[in-house]
Amino acid sequence: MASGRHWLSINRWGAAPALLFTAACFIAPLVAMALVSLSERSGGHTVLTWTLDNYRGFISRSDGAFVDALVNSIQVTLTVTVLSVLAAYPLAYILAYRVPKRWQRVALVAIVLPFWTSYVIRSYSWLLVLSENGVISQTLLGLGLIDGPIGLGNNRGATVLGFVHFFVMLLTLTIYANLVQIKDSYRKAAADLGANGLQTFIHVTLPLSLPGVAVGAFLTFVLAVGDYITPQILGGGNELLLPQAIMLQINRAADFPMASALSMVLMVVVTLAYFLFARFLRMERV
Amino acid sequence: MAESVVSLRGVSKSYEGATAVSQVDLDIAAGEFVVLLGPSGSGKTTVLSMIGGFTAPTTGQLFIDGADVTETPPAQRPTATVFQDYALFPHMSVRSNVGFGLAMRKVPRAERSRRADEVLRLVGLEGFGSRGIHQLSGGQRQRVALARAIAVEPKVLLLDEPLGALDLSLRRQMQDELVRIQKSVGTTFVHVTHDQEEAMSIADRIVVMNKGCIEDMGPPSRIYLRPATLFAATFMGESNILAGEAVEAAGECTWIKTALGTLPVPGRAAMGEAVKVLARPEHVHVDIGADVGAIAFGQGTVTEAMFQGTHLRLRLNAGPQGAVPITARAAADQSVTVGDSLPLSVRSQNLVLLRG
Amino acid sequence: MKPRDIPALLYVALAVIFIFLPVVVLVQFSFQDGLAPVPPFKGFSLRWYDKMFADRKLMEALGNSVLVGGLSSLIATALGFLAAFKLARRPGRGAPQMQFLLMAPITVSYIIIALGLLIVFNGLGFGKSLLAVGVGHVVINLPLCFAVIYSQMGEHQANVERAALDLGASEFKALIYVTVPMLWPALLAAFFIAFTLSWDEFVIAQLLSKFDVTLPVVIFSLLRTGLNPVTNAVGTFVFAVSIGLVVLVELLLARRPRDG
Repeated sequence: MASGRHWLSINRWGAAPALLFTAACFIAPLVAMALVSLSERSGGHTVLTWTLDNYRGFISRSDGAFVDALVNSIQVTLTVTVLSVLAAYPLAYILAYRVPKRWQRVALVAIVLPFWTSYVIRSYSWLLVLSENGVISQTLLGLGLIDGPIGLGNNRGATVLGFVHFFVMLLTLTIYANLVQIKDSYRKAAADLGANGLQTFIHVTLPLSLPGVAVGAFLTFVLAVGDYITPQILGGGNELLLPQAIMLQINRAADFPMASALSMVLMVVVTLAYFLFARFLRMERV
Repeated sequence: MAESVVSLRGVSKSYEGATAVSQVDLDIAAGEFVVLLGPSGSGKTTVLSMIGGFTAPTTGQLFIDGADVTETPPAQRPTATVFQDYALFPHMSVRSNVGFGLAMRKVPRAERSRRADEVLRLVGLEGFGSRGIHQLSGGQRQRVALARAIAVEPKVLLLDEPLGALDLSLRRQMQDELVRIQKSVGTTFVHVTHDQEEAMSIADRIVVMNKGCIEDMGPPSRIYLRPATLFAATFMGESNILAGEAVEAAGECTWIKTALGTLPVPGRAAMGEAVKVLARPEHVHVDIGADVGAIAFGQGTVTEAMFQGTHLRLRLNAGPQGAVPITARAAADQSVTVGDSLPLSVRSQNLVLLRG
Repeated sequence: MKPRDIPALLYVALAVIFIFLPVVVLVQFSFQDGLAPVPPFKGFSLRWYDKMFADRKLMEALGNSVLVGGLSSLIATALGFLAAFKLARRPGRGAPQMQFLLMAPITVSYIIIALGLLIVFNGLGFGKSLLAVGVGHVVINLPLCFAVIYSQMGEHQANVERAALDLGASEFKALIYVTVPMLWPALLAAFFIAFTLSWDEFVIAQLLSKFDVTLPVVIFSLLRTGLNPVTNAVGTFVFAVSIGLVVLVELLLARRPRDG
């Protein structure tokens, strides 16, 4: 009974259900969305007119508010990515190389325990810390260091803080996983040849870990740039990021064509980031 | 101790109840090619690791070139190691790998390249400097690892089973290369292996280890022909071991009573002492008249005859009731069949007295 | 402890304080006896938890979350397993392209996936519903389930399956008696990872549901109404459940499958 002969065998059709599902529920909606971005609202219906009005609107509407949203998103996301990588790398390094092997897994899980809180709740809990009634304000008030309650939330800084909080945990996990699979013998060889701790790090550990860090950074970028929750909860109303603009177009304005156009812009940004990242990785190979 | 380049004094290493190395004393002279030989778990790799500074001894002291380096980290020891998996830096070229140790010593780039290329020529990889590590074959990587270690001109070069990953013909080739390079550079080599043939091919001196202790130490021929312990005897090659009792002294020899008769064995033993006698298969003769000086010890019935290329390997039942199994050799073209009865003899000077 | 360890220790301490600060505050105030969910801390009380469990909308949403999470994870794991099996054992032509297609949704932001599905469902006449949310969750979880299971289907696995076939098992029987039992830690891990992501997912849930909603959606609307102490209780509760799931996955993955 050779496998693969039977008509209904998994070896032939196994991937079919998943592929069909992906085509129907992922590809098709994206295509539909692309088409809607080229459509107009007309009498309660969306009509495909192959118009670029939505994209023009992206640039010109509301005094370029949408462009601002895009620029804000990219600025915030880049800041978050850089800060998170810089903060997470030392943590992952210490976990991988300074903590005794036996305790590493436990320490890792313990340190990023808050990673498993609900994402919404986690962002909200920073309000408990940052707002006027929050822990920091009340503590400083209680210590007599300030006269009145201060609100540290509801601004870009709070958004960045909220993001960095999440991504430091995520990146610690991914960078740690990457560091531990670098063969021990590389570092031993470097030490054997006379390299001190810093030299070993600069010449061996860091270059070998860079591709893994790049993957983590890319992941951070993609997740952050498309996130609605953190900026919505912590950002205050003064500044909008792109996902918030998209949400407004869907819920408030019910302007699906515009929302679709904005989503396409977001996708372009992510795709560009992907190509930059892929090029960086290819350069790393050499 | 003044002339030894490496000295171990009472060195031992234990981990949570298990002892890896137990009270080892060892002196290695400058320019020697020493091989640490033993089965896995014998402690040979741990000793190498302690010389290199990667493992700290639990007790004892370590000296390199007269200086106490027991507490010194690897980076500051005048040693260089060729690791079992080579550990070549995948993100650097061959030349950068070889020059790495020099870069750590702040040697300027031009000088580094020059010396790296020189060493690459020495190991037979001239012109390979710009290649990437992933472009190299196993044998080539091995040479780069060696070059990298030689480039820093260490007092002692440590090799951790470097030939294990190579196939047989390549391994033989590299063994010759290693000896050639060592003689050419003059550095002391300490090489770890579990392969006794490899050890015999390359070593000036073999240190046989078992269960954390040194069993025997000496030039390959002596270790093979006149091993000091039972373990060393059986580890170095096929052996016929006969249990016996010393019955009479006779000058340089002692008569030992065994199941195959009373044999004169070089060496001294107390009367009545229980000892073992070693006879290597190639020293057991199976035809009459082949060797006049040999002592006969009866007939043996052939139970197996295997062609091994250069010889026939014979298994025979010898002694009273054929109770003693003997391994012997015959010429490759000799016609021997199972069931044949052959006369067995051996020269007295080829017998070895063993204890334990 | 050597002096050179001190900077490292200091850094870890700072990092831990930063990471745990909001969660500690959250948990602490969920047990607070007092209306303001803010400092100073006054007395221990479980009243917010009582209020939470008494809130019908919350409890319904919790049930919905479990339902959507469970079903969508089941489907994602099943589809992912079948695809991983085929692509690992008999890749055939077009395998890299198939893999690319299956993994593609990972790089697309949830909000875009949600919008796309919303457009399609509106167009087809299906309204918003938990079913729609479930579909959305399968879309985002399928690539992960596939990746997790695929990574566990190694050579060793394949040989054992071949041995079973060689001994006369039909393909189906080999699957049931050999493959699935050997893979069950990976299958369960995939299921729980998908469940954790679905359980916590907000954007797709909000855009694709109307009257029946999931927990994150209710929590978010709670936040709209200002700082509410029940929110702290809900948050802590969700945190505890998530930890429980993570511990479960850890134990599952730490158990080595019996050899043979």
